[in-house]
Amino acid sequence: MANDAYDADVIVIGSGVMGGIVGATLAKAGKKVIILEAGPRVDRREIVETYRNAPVKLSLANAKLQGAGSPFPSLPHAPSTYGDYLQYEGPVKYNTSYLRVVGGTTWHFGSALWRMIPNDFKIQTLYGRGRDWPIGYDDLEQYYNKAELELGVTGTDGQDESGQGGGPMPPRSMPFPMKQLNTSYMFDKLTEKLLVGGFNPVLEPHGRASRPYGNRPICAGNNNCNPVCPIGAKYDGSMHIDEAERHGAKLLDNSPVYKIEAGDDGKITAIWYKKPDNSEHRLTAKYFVLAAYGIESAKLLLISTSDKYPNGIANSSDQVGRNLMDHTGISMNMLTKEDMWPGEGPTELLVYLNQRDGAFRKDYPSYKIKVRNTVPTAQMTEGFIKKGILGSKLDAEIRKYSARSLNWAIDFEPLPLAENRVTPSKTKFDSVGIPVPVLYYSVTDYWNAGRDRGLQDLNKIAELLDAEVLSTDVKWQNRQHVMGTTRMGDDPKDSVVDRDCRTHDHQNMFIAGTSVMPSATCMNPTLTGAALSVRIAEQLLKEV
Amino acid sequence: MPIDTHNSGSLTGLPLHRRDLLRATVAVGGLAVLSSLAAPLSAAAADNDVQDFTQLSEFLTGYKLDPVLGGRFLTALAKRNATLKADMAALQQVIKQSGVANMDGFLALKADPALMKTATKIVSAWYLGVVGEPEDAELITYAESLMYRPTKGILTIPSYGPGPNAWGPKPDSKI
Repeated sequence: MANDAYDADVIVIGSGVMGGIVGATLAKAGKKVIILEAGPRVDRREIVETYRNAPVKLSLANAKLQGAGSPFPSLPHAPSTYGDYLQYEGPVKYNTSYLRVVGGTTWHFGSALWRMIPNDFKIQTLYGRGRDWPIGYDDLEQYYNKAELELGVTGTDGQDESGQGGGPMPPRSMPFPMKQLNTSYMFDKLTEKLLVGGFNPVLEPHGRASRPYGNRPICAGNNNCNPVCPIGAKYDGSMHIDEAERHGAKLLDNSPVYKIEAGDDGKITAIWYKKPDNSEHRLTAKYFVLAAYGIESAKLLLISTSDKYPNGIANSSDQVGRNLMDHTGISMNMLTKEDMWPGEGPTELLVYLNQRDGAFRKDYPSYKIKVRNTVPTAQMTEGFIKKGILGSKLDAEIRKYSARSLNWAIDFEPLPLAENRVTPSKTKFDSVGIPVPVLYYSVTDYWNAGRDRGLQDLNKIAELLDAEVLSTDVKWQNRQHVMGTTRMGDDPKDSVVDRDCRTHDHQNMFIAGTSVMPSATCMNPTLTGAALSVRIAEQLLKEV
Repeated sequence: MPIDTHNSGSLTGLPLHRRDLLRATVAVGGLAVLSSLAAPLSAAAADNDVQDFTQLSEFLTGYKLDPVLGGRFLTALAKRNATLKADMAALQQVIKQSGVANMDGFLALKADPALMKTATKIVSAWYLGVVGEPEDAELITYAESLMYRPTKGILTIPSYGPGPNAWGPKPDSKI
């Protein structure tokens, strides 16, 4: 029960999926919870209408167009990452885009929700690369179950998610909460044509409902997972925030946190936040959970400096902000000779994971091959007209390329590198005086070896499909999978949080999210972050 | 015949809107009779421009088009091009004189680049649903953009999905 000496039992910084899970779990157990969010609340209908009415629409193909097309708001105290908010340094531009609104980045995620496989937790031991986790798959398995129920995961039971076409992998003690959606014609056709070349089809587990789930209707094939599911069939963090508020949690929106305060004994005593009018506010709690996304969480720790903590909070190891990772990738467009029709049903489902695990990880990174299933029309039409194609040929070309142009992409496993990092800008600040993030990023020859190996696979796919390669992009495509900036480990000297996601330096503060991942695998990390968040919430219930 | 006191303002018993008249007028092939009856002179002149534009657009795109959208496209295009009316007139003149039946016939003429530029701007607007360059782009329509017509019934216009489980079998390639 809340002690009047504190404003809350637990303060959660960040209202995305991770903070939402922790906040909702604690609120349901009767704990007094305050959740802070830098950005505003958003309304699904308004976002959908803004999207429909936008002259420049964001798509995976033009994601590099900064400032263009996101229907989510950009406010002076919580600027959008689609504008010039993020600053880039280093040889590779880390142009990620997360959402600073209530509910967080899952509003626009594709909703892939994968478990890691057992070998992913010990890649240093097995392959001499990257870093082992202090915990293993068995430690997380039951939390994966719980996270899948929390997020409502749809998946294919009995599938070999390690991509070898074998028996069920990873081991599961519970079936998927919802059975897989129907596959589209394209997925079936690709499965048939690529299987002969040894590519084992794997259907992605994801957060789109295949039966009514809580308040969520069944996925209706709107093909609009990014930027927004118009009907709320796809999970997003606002659903957990709603649940937390229904159980008495207090949500403070438009309230960017700019300082975490610690006592001499190491315990966190309070957090400070601003309102858009620049007024400053202080809140106290028994426990604190930092869940502000891998970039903002690290930045907040680094700017929370004091005489006692000159390097910032939770940073005695100097690892805060370092080891920034992403599944930096490549892509290839190809034109098949028969109609395939990408764009039916959800925006993604079929992947190839032949290179997810194996002894090769000594030499090149694991990777995932995916085929995009987005309606491609809008991206091609302008180009046809610019080329002077008009008359009946224009419709014929739109139809042909809509039916036959496929976009394949690869996500590679990165290595944690100390120099790849988030730092607070010394020269640029938002409207309430908080430094904006600076992102330094690079890749190594290990990534280059993966790129070369991956290109071989993409070319083989083109061959099997009898397709013409239209274009290839190997320029380090950002996959918006932020990991590593507050990594987990047993040794306080080289990690930020312990195996429970508790900061080594501050007994009453946890970090929730994918930033605690010491290694990244090649798979979308959200479910792993969610499983760890469920685990944090259960630990807090024992202590608070 | 009893007098319907609730609808005494209209001959048809239904309120008559200018946009309905506009649609009806274009539908009967450009006769200006109805609009001159129902609207003040300046509005009628504007309606004539919209009809001209919509009819030209129908020739250029090969689709039956909504004159209400036509009016909005015309306004947006004219805002960015002071000579649009003259450009359109020049284009119409060549089309009429050549006697070609459709856009493919016109393309075969290999017309003057200035005429092609006018034609392309109009086609681009209707296909993309957008007028202007990225800095000042203006959306006129999303779901009615002509670029979605060639795949209508097969692919969804994103965010207007077909409903649960509406995919799987081979899409009808005859559409």
